[in-house]
Amino acid sequence: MKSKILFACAVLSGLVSAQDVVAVKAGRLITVSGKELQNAVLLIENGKIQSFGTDVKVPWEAKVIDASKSVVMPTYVVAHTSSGMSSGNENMANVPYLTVQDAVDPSSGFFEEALRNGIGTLHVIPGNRTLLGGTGMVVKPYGKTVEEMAVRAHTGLKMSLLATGSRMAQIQKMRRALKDVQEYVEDYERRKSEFAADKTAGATKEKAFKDKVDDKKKPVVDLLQGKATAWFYVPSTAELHEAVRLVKKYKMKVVLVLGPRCHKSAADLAAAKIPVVLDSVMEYEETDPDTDETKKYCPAALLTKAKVAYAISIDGGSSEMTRYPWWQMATAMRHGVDRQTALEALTIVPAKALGLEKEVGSIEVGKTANLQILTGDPLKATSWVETVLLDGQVVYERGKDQRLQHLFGKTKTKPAAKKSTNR
Amino acid sequence: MSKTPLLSFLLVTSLALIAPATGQAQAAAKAIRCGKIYLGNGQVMTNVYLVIKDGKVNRLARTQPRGMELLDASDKVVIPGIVAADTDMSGHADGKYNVTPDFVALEGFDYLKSYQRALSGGVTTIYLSPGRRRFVSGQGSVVKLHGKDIVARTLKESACLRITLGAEANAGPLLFEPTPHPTSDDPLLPARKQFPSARISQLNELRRVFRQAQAKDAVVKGSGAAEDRYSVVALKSVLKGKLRLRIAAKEAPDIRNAVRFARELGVGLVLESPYEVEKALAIHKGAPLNAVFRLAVRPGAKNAGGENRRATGPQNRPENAILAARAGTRIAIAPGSDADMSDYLLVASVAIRMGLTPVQALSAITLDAARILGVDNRVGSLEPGKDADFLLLSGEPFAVGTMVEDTYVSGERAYHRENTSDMLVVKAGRIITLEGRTIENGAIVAAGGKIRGISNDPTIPYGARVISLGKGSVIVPGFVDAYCHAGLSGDGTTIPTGKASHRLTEVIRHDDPVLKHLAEAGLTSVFVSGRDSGLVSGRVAAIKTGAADHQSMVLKDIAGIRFVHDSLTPNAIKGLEAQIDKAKKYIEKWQKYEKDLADWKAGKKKTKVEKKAPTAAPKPISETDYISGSWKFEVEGMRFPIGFIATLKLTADNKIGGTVQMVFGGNPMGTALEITSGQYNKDQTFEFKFSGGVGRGGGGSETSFTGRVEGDSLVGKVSLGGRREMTGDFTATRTSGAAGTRTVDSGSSVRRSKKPTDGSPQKPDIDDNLEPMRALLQKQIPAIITTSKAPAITEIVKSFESRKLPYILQGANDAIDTPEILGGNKPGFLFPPDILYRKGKKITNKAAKISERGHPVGLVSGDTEGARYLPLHAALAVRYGMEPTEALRAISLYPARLFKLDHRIGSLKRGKDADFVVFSGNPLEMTSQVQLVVVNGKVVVDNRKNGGPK
Repeated sequence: MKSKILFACAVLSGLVSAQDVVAVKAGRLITVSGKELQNAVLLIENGKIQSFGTDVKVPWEAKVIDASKSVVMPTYVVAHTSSGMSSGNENMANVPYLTVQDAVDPSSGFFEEALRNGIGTLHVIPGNRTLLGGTGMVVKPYGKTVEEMAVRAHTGLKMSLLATGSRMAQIQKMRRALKDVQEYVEDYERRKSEFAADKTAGATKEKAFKDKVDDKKKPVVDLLQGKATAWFYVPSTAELHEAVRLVKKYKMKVVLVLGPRCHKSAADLAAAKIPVVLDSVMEYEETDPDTDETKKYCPAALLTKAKVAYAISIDGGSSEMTRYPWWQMATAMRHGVDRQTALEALTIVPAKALGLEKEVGSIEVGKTANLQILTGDPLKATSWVETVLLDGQVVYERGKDQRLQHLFGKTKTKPAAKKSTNR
Repeated sequence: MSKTPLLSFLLVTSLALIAPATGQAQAAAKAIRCGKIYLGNGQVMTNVYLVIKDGKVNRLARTQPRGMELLDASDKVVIPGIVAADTDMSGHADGKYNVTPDFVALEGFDYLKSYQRALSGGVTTIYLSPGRRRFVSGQGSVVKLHGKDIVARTLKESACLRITLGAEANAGPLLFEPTPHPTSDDPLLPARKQFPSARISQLNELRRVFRQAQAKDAVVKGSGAAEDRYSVVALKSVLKGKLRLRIAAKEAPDIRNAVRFARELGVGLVLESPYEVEKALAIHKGAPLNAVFRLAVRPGAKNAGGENRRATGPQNRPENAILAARAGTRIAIAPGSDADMSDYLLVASVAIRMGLTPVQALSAITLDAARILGVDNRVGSLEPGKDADFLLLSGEPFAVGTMVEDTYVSGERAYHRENTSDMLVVKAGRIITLEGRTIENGAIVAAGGKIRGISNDPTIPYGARVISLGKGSVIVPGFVDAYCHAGLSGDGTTIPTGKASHRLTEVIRHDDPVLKHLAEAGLTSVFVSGRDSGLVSGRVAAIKTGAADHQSMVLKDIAGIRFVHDSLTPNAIKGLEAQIDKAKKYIEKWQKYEKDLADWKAGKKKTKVEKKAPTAAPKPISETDYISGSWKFEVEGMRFPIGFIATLKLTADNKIGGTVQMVFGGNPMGTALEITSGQYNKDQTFEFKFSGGVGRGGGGSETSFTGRVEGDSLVGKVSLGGRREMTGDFTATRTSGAAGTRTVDSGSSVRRSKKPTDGSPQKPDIDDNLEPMRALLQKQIPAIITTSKAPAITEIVKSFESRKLPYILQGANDAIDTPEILGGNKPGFLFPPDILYRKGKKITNKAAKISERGHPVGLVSGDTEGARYLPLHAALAVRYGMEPTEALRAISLYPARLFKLDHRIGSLKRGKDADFVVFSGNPLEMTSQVQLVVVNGKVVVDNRKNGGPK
């Protein structure tokens, strides 16, 4: 099965090559960052968006993808996932030196499913059941090796306050672990300045300071020195206050990854001004201990109300509806989030959190041509992703999706409407 | 903490300067008018104004401060918010290491959780424990349970360093901390045990920990193995005297060790749950100690004290706290379980029962608790400058029925209790129960509409409304008028004649002003019926006067059936008996149904669902009703000048009902008789008949009419039954009403029952005419027979006694002077107001006379609005010689008993309806006034504020 898919991908990738000019005729173009356009043309050159608009002419040499009856929009960006690896975490909690590069499996069904659902960028990072869990990387769900898939490596360190036993002990563990490294950094800096003093005094013959930073501590050192970002998982409101205190104390660059029980902290989050990613649980039920009434909360809706920007995640390991981007956005909307905010929460907001806002997340000139072509509105349950382009290349076509064909039979799939032809 | 005093002074002053500017909006001052206030520092004041500003106590004023919001708590008791000196509300505590001085309890606290339960018990400040089972557990914190964010709520992030001595501290887990890449320098080590594991090493280990922290080269974050890499900041603070020690030590040796260690370091000490503190104190005499106790008392739990017979060690007994307090220890007390915070005051009151004084107990949950936690500069008492954390209590702090009604934290209301109790307690100088006892200085407790108890000094539950009336006041059962028409003459003009079929309770309105006036006079129940009119004079409905709604107004739908019988003809009683016996078949139907239903319910018998064609709903033949109305029949062709007057009624199913009375020579004869059957036909012809002694040959004969409608009159033939049949032609003309449009429910006395769908037996149709008879025959209600002549009385008594049916005589004048006619029976009597009759100078009181002979006597008004003078009628009876208690019973208990309603009304007894009246003095003295009237447990008349009745 896996080899078949890989083979199919290889064939698909041959259809359009990167150096070609590609023109996408879009019946409806959802740019996310700007106005929605009707009957627009989008030109791709060298994998980047060269121009787009209703008055753009299709050059004679361009390969045309006719999506004039379809909807074209940027592929989704998932800011935080631990799927696509064999398991999210190492047994040991304090392992900052690990990296998902060693664990990402290009043949994982998760990436195939991601592509099928119009996801073009994924941040794979160690899971939440850890303390300092290792670093993550950004990948596209297409490629035969991790290197092919890689968009950006070492995107940041996973920190988590998810307690296996006592909440207070977990916070204390985190405090101690960070302090350990801080003292290590101070010691390192002291040795370095001593070397420099020796050097100017001529007390040493060494040309340069040779002590290396301990590999086991490097990601945390980078974090404390402001060179890297931490993806900080906070399971509930009870830990949030301490998490923010830690962030401020060590002046860390952090993206907060919030568990569903953080729904009460909207006001605190607005005050903290830290980028926020919600985990995949869009609805959360809580029972009031006084009245025994159970209420349903949507953290996304509460954050929208508090004017906090956030990214939405999907649950890659689940068989629930929460694995579909459209379901996640629609759930947020059912709880009162407006359409644009919901769309942005899976496109431009996560792109910003990843520092990729100049590359992906919306249709703008100069950005990477990561596009999805849908049969209808992205928030409709009946819409299918017909085609996905990554770096301007068609990497997925529903008509050639072996799995869908296997599940639904050939007769049910439409003939490929997006046939590319030379004019 | 390390700032110089000057710096912190500057900080404080600058804050003080900024505060008014930034917080002006919410800083509006508020005054609470306190009926009584315990300041918490031992001072108690009454009628003062507690002024709060910026969430702080501003001052206490004797007069009402101007220009600020006023909160009236003049009927409340105000105390400081409770400071819970020990809780487990920091969430999960205890790490895996045995020494964790850097654990801070606050970090585990979820401040956005709902703490309404604790707030409902009056808890405003709590201590958070960093753990219970580790040697050096960490730093305890003190927070408030309400406030805008965690910063505003935190009183002290680091309030103490908690240490455990004794068995709990010995149970540290094994430590296994594998290294990811083991080398010879960093080998994989086996699991290690943690010190200490026996009492012998505990103090030694503790000294080592502190000595290490004290060492000049001590690294702030600790060094060595993982379990030793804790921050020593807290340990250093203890050594500098900035942080107090809180040592949990249960057994005497551990308590002694704790005291000794604190002395060695020269630092403050709080003992946590020192069960054997008394033993330890014997040795450390005079040692100033602080101790926190969690009282092992669980209200509402089995084994409330948590006794464990098998435990050999010291037990957590509430007495420990009291012994410690007596030995001069400053104590704070908290409930044994966080779940009991809602009854904090009750738990503390147990300590009072065990020997603590109320003053000590209050202090142990407020100021002393705050002192022990080191937050007494902010909370614990209501002195000016402190936080405005206070509680509004419904009564004295440690009374069983006292609840926290409102909890204020920093001047903001954090909890409010809704009082859902309907309990009413009325206290009076005397309670006349009419049940054989009179209670001086008693109280009636009512709830759920019933009397719950009558006693001298009841413990008053929370939420009860207490009404205390003067010493001279007297409570009597609500008065009962056994014969009146209140509520029936809605417009006050006419009183309808009584009918057996009249469903009285459907027409009487609970908010009828007449009923209200009766309530104001002290009448709580009235037995309402139509005017007496002939043999069957209609049913009686028992009605409450002050009811809040229709449902609670109806005491008994059919409470009696009235008859008039005064005929002197021999066997005249037969007519009355015939009326009653008509119901016999009807009863059989019902009895069969009830039996079938019981069988069906028990699953014994399946009733056959009869496959009868559904009976078509009755259809009126024509839209216009030519029959209903009052008619005068003139008859021709007979030997006697006979005529009839009739009231006819056409029902939806074309039956003719009503009454007919014979007229002889222009004078009505006898009584009106019910039409037994009648039919109206399509061709506008009709027939109806009635039975009774009209025709020759007396009773049992039938008189029948056949005729047709002719314009606005009826013409036809009448036939008198009997041995010698007589016939004549009649013409009837209307005397009232006009041919009208028929309505479907045009007063048929029969109400069809619906066919059940669940296979249960079908209910018989309800015949409203026969319903009262059925109740009578089943002995559920009495017959009230108005009579006066001796032969009639004798007949009645004989008839009813032989049938064993309940009956009451009304009037019955001849029985007063000639009691023999009663044949030795003791029926009940009802007397209308004219109880006196004069013969020459001799005045006889009928009621008194009958009462003396041992008959239950009811005094009745027979009035509508005038029923409010019922007490006057009773007073008159007393004035002319009736025994006063019997007179009272004549307007309360006896009518209730005679109408078989004495399980609900008539006297004051646990379980009966809470219907009673409070008079300012003797209820039979007209100079006494109605102060309070209670119906169904609710105050319906309250004249106290007006100084008297309207």
